[in-house]
Amino acid sequence: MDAVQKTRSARLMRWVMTTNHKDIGTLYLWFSFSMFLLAGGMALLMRIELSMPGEQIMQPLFYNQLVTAHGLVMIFGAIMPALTGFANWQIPLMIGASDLAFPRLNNWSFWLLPFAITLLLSSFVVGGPPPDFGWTFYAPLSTTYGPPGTDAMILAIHLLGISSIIGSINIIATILNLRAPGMTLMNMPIFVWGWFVTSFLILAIMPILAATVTMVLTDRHFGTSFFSAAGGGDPVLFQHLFWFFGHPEVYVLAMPAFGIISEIIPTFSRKALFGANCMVYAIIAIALLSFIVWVHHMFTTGVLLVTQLFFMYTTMIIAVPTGIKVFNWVATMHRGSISFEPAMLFAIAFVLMFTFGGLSGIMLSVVPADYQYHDSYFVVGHFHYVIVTGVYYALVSGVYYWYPKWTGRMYSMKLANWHFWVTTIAANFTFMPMLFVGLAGMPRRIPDFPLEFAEFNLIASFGSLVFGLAQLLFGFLLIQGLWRPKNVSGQVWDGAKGLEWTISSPPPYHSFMDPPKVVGKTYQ
Amino acid sequence: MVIMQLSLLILLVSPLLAWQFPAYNMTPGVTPVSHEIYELHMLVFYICLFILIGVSVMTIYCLVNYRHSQGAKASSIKGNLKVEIIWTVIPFLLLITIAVPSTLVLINIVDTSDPDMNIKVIGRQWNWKYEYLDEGIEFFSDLSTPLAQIKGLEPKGDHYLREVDHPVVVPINKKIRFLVTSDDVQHSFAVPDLGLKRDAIPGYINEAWVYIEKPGTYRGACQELCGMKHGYMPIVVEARSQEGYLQWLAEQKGEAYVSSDPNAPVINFVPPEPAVIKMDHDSIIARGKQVFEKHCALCHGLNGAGGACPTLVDITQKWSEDELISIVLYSIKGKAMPAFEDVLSDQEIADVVYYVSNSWNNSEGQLISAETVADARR
Ligand SMILES: [Cu+2]
Ligand SMILES: [Cu+2]
Repeated sequence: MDAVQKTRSARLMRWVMTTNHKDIGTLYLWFSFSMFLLAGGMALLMRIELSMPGEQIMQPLFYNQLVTAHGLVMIFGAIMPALTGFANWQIPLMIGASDLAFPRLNNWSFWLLPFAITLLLSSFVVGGPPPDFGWTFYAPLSTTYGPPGTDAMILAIHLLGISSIIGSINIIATILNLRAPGMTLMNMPIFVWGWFVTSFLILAIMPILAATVTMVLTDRHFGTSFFSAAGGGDPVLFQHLFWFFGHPEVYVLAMPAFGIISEIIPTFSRKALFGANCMVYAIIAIALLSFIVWVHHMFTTGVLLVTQLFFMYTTMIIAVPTGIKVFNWVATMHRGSISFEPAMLFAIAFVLMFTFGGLSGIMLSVVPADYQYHDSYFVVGHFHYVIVTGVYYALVSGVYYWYPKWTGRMYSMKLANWHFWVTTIAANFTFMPMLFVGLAGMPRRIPDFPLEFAEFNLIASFGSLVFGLAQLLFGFLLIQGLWRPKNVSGQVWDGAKGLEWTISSPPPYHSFMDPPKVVGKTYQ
Repeated sequence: MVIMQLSLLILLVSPLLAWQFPAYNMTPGVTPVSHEIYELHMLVFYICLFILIGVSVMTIYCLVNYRHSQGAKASSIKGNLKVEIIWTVIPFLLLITIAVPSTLVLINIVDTSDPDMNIKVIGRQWNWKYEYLDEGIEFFSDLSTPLAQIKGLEPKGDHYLREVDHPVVVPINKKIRFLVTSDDVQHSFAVPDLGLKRDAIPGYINEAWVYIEKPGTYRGACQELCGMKHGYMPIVVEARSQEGYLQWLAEQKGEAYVSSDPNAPVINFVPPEPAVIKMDHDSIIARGKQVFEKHCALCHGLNGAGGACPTLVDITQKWSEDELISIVLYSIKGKAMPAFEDVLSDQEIADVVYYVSNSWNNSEGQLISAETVADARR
């Protein structure tokens, strides 16, 4: 081995063996971005198929396989790892810790991911056929009728679950034990709070998902019939278990996103976060409520009247703490001193479009109306407003906010502005028509549709292609930024508050080796 | 940049315009329940719109008035308990104004007592089966859009993907109870115009009721992902006058229809001749081709070349005709292919197997009689 090769493999091994929270955060973020492009590419293929009535480029079965892979990879491969990437980079910096509590566990929780996703998608390559029943894998479509690729999916979900569980334990231990002196729980930045609560959610729901997929596995191969009516089992039980995981999962994605936005709006409004304590209480309230709303995904399964009423009311009540958060963000901007950096643009758009998505959620909570909306494109439009223009916007906003801190370099503001405007217009062109065709009665998860839905589907397909291109621009400007001069100050943004801005940009490889002393509240 | 900002603004206002085109709103439908749902939907929509406009106006007000670039000085306020309470209480009150009517409508929807008639609906991979419990008639309802339209070989008809061979015919002004269940996986029985959606779940019988006020044809589709042809199992409900319904019923039972109206013209009922099933090669091929295009071609391809499913070219080298019959009847475990034992008659299976084993490079098969298929049934 010559010297060049040696340094090359050493450089590679640094990323494989690293236990540094910054390195692992970087790995998480780039991995999630590549998964985002992959699952986004699947979405674009589906939109091309749906651009016009009739079969365009794929067979119905392949369409169903894409529906499944798109959902699973986006949730478990793109969004959750991206949020964990933020947690890795930011939580130690924001609470004044030198690293996470269990650095080696941290390495493992990242390196499980590429293998899990490979396993998940392997059935596309080695001939499964791959799972074709949607990311919700309802029984008995996934049990008695599931293709062989389902087993690979089940094992992949186990791996992903282990990864998120050990990640959460790590984050909880870090937050509880490694805060700098003076940083009390109520003084913690809201982003850290969001992740703190999310970690508990993950600990509560991931074992349930693991149990559910294991029951699917034993139903498939070991003669049990948990979900098979013919054997005395219950297909609706599957839905209860799945959504007991599935609804809090939505908040696993949303809560850290709320946290990111709660950092950015005060910075660029140059004003303290309005009602910071109320924001914390709202997060906790949402987290608790999220465990008692799951049946709103199942109103049409014929559950009892009282059950439907109970879950309608609880679902509506979630709007109250969510509303508190939105109003507090707006109140933070009120009488502030606002500037429009790309991070802030995305944050403002988040507030408006997440509200839009959330309001369509209130419509869905109304059970009689849900009898019309349920499993229609209205639902698809709704959750894409919440996840794309909500969670994804928060992630992009966070990247624009902390990228200079992480790299010491400033990306091209001009390109970032273009990214914002094109993305926002395209996102609305993509998801708004979905709401309307849904109201008009178009079912979700179909590869072909009646003629009356043609115009709006074409608009959505067009929008999605532009949206996809804009995200390539995002990737380009992030990489291009790495070649720009390393001249960013430690403070970066004049209005930014918090420990991470007290150290240099980029921070030293090992930061806060001596814990800083925190006096007073974060947002003062 | 200004152009982009303007176009965003136009885009955000456009939904208000879309609302003016009823085709893109929820249908008010033709039943009392669907009207109530529609009104509820509009109520919630306006409340949500009100909140959205409120939040947007406040945000835009802030963005316009407190700009750093225009020298705005940030205040040092950190919170205000009074306003926190206000914006907790007001949404709560708004929610109550939604919850009360929703509850009332829901109680009405679940009241399936005292129906005038009962229809059992069975979701299947991939068609619907209707059983008129009080009349003893039952039939399957399959998509009737020709595959050539789906593949783009023919222009698409007006009711592309929303037409079936046997619509479910019901009378108007009667309380009809649907008992919805499934034979295999989950489906969802949904007709927007009737305000109707109930999941079809194996092992469960879910109830729903409709009271149709207007004669007409109402179209819906399966709404729960149920496998490969989920997008190809529409529901067509034909609502007729009581008279028209009874006439249809008589036809189904093969009886003469006697009108209750003494002035109605007497219709001479001639029982249909039992059709002679021709067993020459060309007739079987023609019948088999029809069955194939309706049930098999979407996956196996019009020319049998496969695609999502295995190719049928040279299939007779792999399977004998008896084996093919059993595959069509019961499928192969672990494969996506559905079992056709209940869907196709003995004759249809005989025809389609003969058609397959005489097409696409396959060896010339023997004539298959319906009896052979009947024997093959377990
Ligand atoms: Cu939910
Ligand atoms: Cu279906």
